[in-house]
Amino acid sequence: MIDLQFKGSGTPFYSIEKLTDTHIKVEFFGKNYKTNPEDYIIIENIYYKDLLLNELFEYTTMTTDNADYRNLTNVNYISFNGIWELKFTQEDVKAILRKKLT
Amino acid sequence: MKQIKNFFTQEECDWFLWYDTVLPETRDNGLRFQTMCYFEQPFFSRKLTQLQEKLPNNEQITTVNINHDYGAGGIHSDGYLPGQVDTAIANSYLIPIKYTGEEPYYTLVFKQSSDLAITFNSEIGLGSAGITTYKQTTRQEYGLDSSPFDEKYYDYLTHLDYDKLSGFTVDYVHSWSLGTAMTWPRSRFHVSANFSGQYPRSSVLILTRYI
Repeated sequence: MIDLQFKGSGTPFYSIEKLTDTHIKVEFFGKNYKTNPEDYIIIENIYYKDLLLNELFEYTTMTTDNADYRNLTNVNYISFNGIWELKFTQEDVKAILRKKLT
Repeated sequence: MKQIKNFFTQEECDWFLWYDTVLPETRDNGLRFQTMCYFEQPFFSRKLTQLQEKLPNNEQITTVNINHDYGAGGIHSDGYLPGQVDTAIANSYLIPIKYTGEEPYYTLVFKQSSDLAITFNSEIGLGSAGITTYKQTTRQEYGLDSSPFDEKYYDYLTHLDYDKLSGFTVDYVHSWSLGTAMTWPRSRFHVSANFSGQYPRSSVLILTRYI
C-alpha cells in the first residue's frame, strides 16, 4: 500500500521490504564512496493507498554505514548505504489530512 | 440512463470506505452522513486520474462525495449551484460501495429536470432534512402540473405524500448493485426509494461536466 517514487544518479541499488500496510524498509547498498562519492538517490514522493502524503517523511528514519551520520530522521536524500524505514499509523494519516484540510 | 457494471471493484469500494475514516469531517444532513472527498487536492491526484479514466473523455469530474444514508431523501436535481452557472453540466454517477443486498434499494429518475440544483424537500414534507447547499423550490415556482402520479411507482416512494408527487413522471428505476454505477443526466430530478434503514447503505456520488 506504500508506494515510493525514486530518482537519482549513479550506482546505488535498493531493495524494498514491505513489512505491513504501514511499515516499509528500504535497504540502499552498493555505493562506492571512493570511486563514486557523488552518487545519490532521492525519494521524491510517498504514496499511501494512492494518496500523495509526503508529510510521511516525518515518520522516516535511516541507519547508515557512516559513523558521523549513523542515525538520521526525516530522510528523503540518500547518499549513504544503509536502511531507510517508514512506519506510521492510521492515526498519523488522519492527523496529516486534518492538518491539510482544516 | 444506464448502469455500468464493475465501475468499482470490491477493492475500490473498500478504498472509499477506508478514505472516509481518515478524513477530518463528515456532515449529518438529516438523512445521510456525507463526506467531501477533496478531489481537487494535490494529494488526491492519483485517485482522481483513476476515476477520470473510468468516465467518457468529454466529461470532467466536478464533485466526489461519500454518502452513508439512513433515511430516504427528497426529490432533487444535481445541477449547478446558485451563483455557479454552468451550462455544461453532464451526468451523475451513483455507485454503491457498501450494500448487503438484504433489502433491495432503488433510485428513481424522473423525466422532469432543472439545470439549477434545486430540491422539493420542504414541499414534499421533508423540511430541510437532506439539504446542504441546494435551493428549495415549490411546485408552483417550478411549474408542476396536477396530473396524478403513476400509482404503480408509489410503492417505491411511501415516505412521501402521494398527492405531492402529482406532476412527476418516472422515467427510469435504478436497482442498486455493489460497485455498479447508476447514471443519469445531472439535470434530471431523482429520488431514493424508501428503505428501512436497518442495513448499511453507502455510496459514492460523482458529478461531471462536459468539456
